[in-house]
Amino acid sequence: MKRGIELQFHWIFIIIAGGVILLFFFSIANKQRQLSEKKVAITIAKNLETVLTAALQSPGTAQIITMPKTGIQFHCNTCPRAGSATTGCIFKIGNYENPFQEKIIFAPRELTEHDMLFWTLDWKTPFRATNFLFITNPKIQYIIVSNDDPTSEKLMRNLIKISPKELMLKTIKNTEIPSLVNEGIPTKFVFLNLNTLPELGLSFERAKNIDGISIGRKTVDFLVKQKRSFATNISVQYTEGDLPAIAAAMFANDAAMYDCGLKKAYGQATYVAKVINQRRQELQKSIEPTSQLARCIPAYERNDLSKITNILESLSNGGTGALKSEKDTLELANKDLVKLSCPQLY
Amino acid sequence: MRAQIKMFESIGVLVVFFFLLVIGAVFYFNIAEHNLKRDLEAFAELKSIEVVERAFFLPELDCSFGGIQIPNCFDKIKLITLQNMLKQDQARTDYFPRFGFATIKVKEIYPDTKTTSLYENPITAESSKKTTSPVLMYDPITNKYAFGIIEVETYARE
Repeated sequence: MKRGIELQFHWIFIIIAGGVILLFFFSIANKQRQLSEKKVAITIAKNLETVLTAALQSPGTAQIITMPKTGIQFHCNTCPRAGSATTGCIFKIGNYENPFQEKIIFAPRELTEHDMLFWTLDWKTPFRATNFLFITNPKIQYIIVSNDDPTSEKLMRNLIKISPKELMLKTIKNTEIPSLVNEGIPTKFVFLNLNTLPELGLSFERAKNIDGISIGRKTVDFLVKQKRSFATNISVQYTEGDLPAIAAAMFANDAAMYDCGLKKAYGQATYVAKVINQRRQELQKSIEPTSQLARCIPAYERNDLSKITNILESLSNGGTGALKSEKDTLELANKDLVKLSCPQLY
Repeated sequence: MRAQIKMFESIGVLVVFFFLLVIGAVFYFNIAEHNLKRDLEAFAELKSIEVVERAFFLPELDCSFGGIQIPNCFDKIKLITLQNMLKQDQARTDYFPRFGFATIKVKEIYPDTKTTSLYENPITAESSKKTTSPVLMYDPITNKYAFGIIEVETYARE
C-alpha cells in the first residue's frame, strides 16, 4: 500500500517536473521566435533604407529589386507643413516602423511581391531641387486615359517618354473605356484633363484593386471606385506642367502621401533656392563694373530667385503660389546668361 | 528514509540539469551579444555611407551648368552659403534627418588649403566612423577648379 502511494507520488512529481521543464523550453523558444522575427524586420528595414538612399541619388534610373517576402507597407498622415512631412510618412516591415525622414517616396499602400520597381526622377524648379523615388510592383497596370484634346495627348506622350520600360503602362482613349475588360490584376487609371470621367465596363463592377486619379491643369483628384464609376475623394494642388509631380500622383498611395511628398519637396527646394539666391548676390558683388564680366551684372540684379524662394516657402507650408511663371522666367534668365558667357545662376 | 533518499536523488538530478542549462544559456547569450555588436557595427557603417552619399549629391552644393550637374563637384560659393545657413537653428533641425549626428568638413587641398566645416552635430563619448572622399571645388568667379576632400564623421550610440 505504502509502496503504491509512493509510486503514484513519484509519477505525479515526474509529470509536474516534466511539465515545468517543457513550459520553460516552450517559453524560451517562443521568446526567441519573436525576437528573431523582430531582428529580421529591423535588418530588412535598415538595409532597405540604404537601398532607398542609394536609389534616390541616381535620378533617371529604374531598377527591379528583389525584396523579402515579409512585404512593405507605406503610410502617411496628413502633413500641414514640410517639417511634419519628415515624420508623417513611414514604411513598415512586420511591426517595425521607419519614418521616410528626408526621402520623398511615392508608393502603394502595400507591396507584397518579391520584385519591386524602384524608379528615381529628378525634380527641378527649374534648378535641381531634389529627387523623387517611385516604388511599385511591376505587376500593377497603369492605364493612361486621354481624349482628343492636344494638351491631354501631349501630356500622355510626355508621360510615356519619361516612364521606364519595366512599368506596365497602357494608353487608351476615353471612348474606349466602356469596352475595356478587367484583366483581374491591380490597375490604376490615370485620367488626363478629362472633364467627365467615363464609366467602366461591366467586368469592373465587382473588381477590387482598382484605383484612379484625374489630372487637371492645377489639381490632382484622387478617385474612389464606386461600382463602375469613379468619384473624387480628395483634390491636391500641384504646379502646372510639373511632369514629375504628375508621375508622383500615379504612384502615390493616397492624397496624404502625395501632399506630404510635395510639401517636403517644396521645403527642400526652398533651401536650394536660398543658396542659389545668395550665390547670385555674391556673384553680383564680386564682379567689378570695369571688368570683362560687367555685362553680367544686370542679370544678377533681377529678383526672380527671391520670388521663387518666397513661393516655395509658401507652398511648403500649405499655401499657394504661381511657381510655373517664375520658373519659366528664371529659366529664360539663365539661358540669357549662357548667351552672354556669364556664370549661370544654376 | 528510502523515499527521502530517492526524492533527494530526483532533486539532485534537476539541480544538475538546470545548472547545465544555465551554463548553456550563458554561452548562447554571450554569442548572441557578440553577433548583435557585429550587426550594430555593420549598421553604423551603412549609416556612415548613407550620410556621405547624401552630402555628395546635395543640390545645395553641386556644380551645375544649365541644370546639368557635374559629378563629384562642389561650388565654393554654395559651400560657404550653406555653411552659414546651417548655423541657424531651424536649418539645423531641418537637415538633421539627412545627416543626423555627424560632422561634415570640406577641405580644399590644392592649390590652397582651407577647411570649411559644413555641418557639426557630434555627440560625445561614442564610437565614430570617418569616411573621406575626393571632390572637385569650383569657383564661379574665377572659373577655376580646385581639389579637395570631403570628410564625414558619423557617431553611433552604443
